[in-house]
Amino acid sequence: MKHTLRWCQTPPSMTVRVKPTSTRSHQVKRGLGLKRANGQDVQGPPGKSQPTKHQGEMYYSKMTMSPTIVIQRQEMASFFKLFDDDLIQDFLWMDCCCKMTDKYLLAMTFVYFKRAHFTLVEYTRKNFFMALYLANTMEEDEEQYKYEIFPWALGKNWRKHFPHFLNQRDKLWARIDYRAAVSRRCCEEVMAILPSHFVWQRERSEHHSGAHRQYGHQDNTLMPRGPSASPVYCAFCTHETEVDHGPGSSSPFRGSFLLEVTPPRTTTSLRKVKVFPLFCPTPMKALTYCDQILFVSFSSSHI
Amino acid sequence: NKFLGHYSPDSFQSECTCSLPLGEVQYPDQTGSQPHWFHTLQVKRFRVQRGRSNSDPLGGTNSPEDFSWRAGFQFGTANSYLSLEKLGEGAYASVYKGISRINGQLVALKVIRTKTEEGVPFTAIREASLLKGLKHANVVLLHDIIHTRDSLTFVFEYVQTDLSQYMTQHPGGLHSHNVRLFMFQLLRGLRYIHSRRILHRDLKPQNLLISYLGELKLADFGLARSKSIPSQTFSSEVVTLWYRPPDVLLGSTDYSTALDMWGAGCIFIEMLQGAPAFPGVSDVFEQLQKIWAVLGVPTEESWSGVSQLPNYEPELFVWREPRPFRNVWKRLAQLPHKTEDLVQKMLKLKPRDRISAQDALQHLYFSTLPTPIMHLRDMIQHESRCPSSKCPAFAWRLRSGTIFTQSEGQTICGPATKCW
Repeated sequence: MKHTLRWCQTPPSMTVRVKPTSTRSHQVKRGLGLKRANGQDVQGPPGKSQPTKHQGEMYYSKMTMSPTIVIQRQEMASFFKLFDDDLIQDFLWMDCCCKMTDKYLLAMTFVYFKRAHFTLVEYTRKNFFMALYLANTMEEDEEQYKYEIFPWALGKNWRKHFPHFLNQRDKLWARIDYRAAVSRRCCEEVMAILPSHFVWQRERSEHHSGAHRQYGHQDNTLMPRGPSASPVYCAFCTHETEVDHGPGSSSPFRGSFLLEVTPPRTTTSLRKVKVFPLFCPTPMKALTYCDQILFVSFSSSHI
Repeated sequence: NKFLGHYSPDSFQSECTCSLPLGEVQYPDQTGSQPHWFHTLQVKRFRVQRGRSNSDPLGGTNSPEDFSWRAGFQFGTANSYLSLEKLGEGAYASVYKGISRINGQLVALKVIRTKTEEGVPFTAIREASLLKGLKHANVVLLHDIIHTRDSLTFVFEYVQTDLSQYMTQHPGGLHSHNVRLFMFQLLRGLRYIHSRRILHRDLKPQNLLISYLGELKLADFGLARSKSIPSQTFSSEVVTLWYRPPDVLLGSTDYSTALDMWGAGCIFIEMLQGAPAFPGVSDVFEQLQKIWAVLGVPTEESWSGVSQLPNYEPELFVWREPRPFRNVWKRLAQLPHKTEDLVQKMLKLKPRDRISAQDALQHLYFSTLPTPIMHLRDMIQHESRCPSSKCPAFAWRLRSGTIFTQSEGQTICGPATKCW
C-alpha cells in the first residue's frame, strides 16, 4: 500500500475551461473541461481555437470573463496526499472490486473539490468522503454499496451521525452550484494530469456494472461492514484472476474477455458466461468499447 | 396583489384578446373556426391569471425592455415566487403553478420533500444536475433552484399540458399530422440528450409536456442517468412497465440509448391508436407476453445472447410468431407505409437493431415536413434565468380534429400493402 507521488512529472498548472453559462450571478462558473497546459489535447475537446459542431464557440466569444481557470499543482498534490492517509488507504483496499471507489468516481471527487472552490486546507478526509458519496449518489444505481462509506467517514457511531453527513453532502451539492454531473471526458482529463498515479489504475470490472435492488428486510449482510471487517470475498474477481484467459484471447487487459455485463441468470461457472458482443464483436479495453456505444460526438464540456 | 401588478384581471383580459388574433396571424392556413385544440387551451388560459411564460411567445414581444424587472427579488430565494394552484403530485415531489415576482413569468414549482434522515433524494440530485447542463427547445428548462434548510424547490418553465392529458382530450388517436410533429420533437429532444450521453429512462406521455403552441418538451429527469462512464451500476428497474423495452424487462442492465427509443416507439403507437401499445397488466412477465404477442418470442437465432438474460425463461413463454404491425394496430394500415416502417425500426426486440434518434429524424416519414424544420439548430440558452432569451418559437401548426382525414384513408392501397 505504499505509493509514491512523483511530482516532477506534473506540469506546473493546468488550464480548465469555464463553462460559458447561465446564471446572472457573479460566481465563477466551474464548467470543467480540463485541458493540459502543455497542449496535449488528446480527445480534442472544443475550445476557442477549435471549431465545434455545436454552437459553443459563439458563447465563448461572448464571454467577458477569462475563459480558463487554473488548477494549481498544489491542488492536485493535496488531493493525492489524501491517499497517504492510512484510513483512506485501508478504505480503498477494502473496496477491492472498486464498487464505490473506481477511478472515475475518484476523479469526480476531485472535480467536486474544484467546483466547490475548496482551499487547500479543505482537502480533508471528511470532504473526500462527502464528495465521494455525492459521486456515488449521482452515478450509481446500486444504492447499497455507498453506505459502506458511513462507518469509514463517521466511525463507530455512524448510525447517529449519518443524517448530518447527508446534510453536509447536500450543502456540498449546493456549493458546486447543483452541478453534480461530470462527463467522462472531464474525468479522463483529470486523470491525464498524472496518469501513472495508483488511484487512476482502479478500474472496475464489467461484471460489477449491474444494479440489483434488494427486496425485503435488510439483514446484516447488507449493512456497512466498516473498518474492522475484512473485504468482501468476490467470487467473480477472484475467479477472474485465476482463470486462464485461454486461447484466442490476446487482450492484455484483465477481465476484458468478459463482455457480458448483465449477470447471467444462472450463477454457475464463468464458462457459462458467454461473450455477449452487444456493441463490439471483439474483446477490447473497456474504454474503447465504451466509445463505440455512444454514437454522437459531443462538444459540451460541462456535463 | 401588488406583485401581480400589470397582471390585474383587466389588463390580463386585454392581453388575451390580443393574443388570439395574433395566433390567427401565425396560422394563415387555418380557415374557419378556431381549431378545437386551441380553443381548449385558450379556455385554460383564461381560467387562470397568467402572464407570459418562457414557452409563450405570443404573450409578449421579444424585446427585453417589455419585462419589468423588480428590484429586490433575487433568484434562489423562496419569496421571489408566488405559488398558485397545485398541478400534481409525484412520488417525491408536489408540483405547483407559480409566478415569478422577478419577471412575471409563469413557472412550475416542483417542491421536493426532504427528510432529515435521508437528505435530498438522489432523484432530485440527478435531475437538477443533469438539467443544469441541458438547454434545448425540446427539453424542459430549469430556471432556478431554491434550497432552504427544510425544502428544495426546482423552478421550471411553465408548460400548459402534457401528452397524456392531450390524448385524453382527443380520444381515438391524434391527427396524423400532429403525431408527426410530436414525434419529430420527441426525437429531437432524444437526439440532443443522447448526444450528451444522457438516458431519460422514464419516457411516457405524462413526462412529455406540450405547450399550447404545440411544442413538446421532455420532462422529469428523476430517473435519468448519464451513460458515459463504463462499468457504472445500472438498474434494470427503470421505465414505467408499459414503455420498458424487452431487453430491460428480461433483466439486462447494459442498456444504452436504445432504451429510450423503445419508449418513443410505444408513444408513437399510442398517439396514433389512442391507446397504449403494450398495456401490460401488473408484472414483468405479463408485460413480456404482451410484447411477444406482437413481435414473437425471441430465440438465440433471432437475438444472440438473449438466453443469457436473467428473466429469459422460454419454457414459460407461450410461443408466438411475429405479426404484421398493421394487423395489430389498425391505424397503421390506414397510413402510408413509411409510418409503419419507422415504427418497426423503433420497436425492435434486440436493442442494437433499434434505430437511433439521429437516424429516425432522417426517416422518410418526416420528409413531408417543411424543409426549414430539418435545419433547426439545437437551441442552447445559456442565459436561462434571463427572460429576454425566449425560445425562438416555432409554429408547429397543429391541426384540429382527432380523426384522421379522408385523404389518409385513401392511402390504404399503395405502398402500404407491401409491408412485411
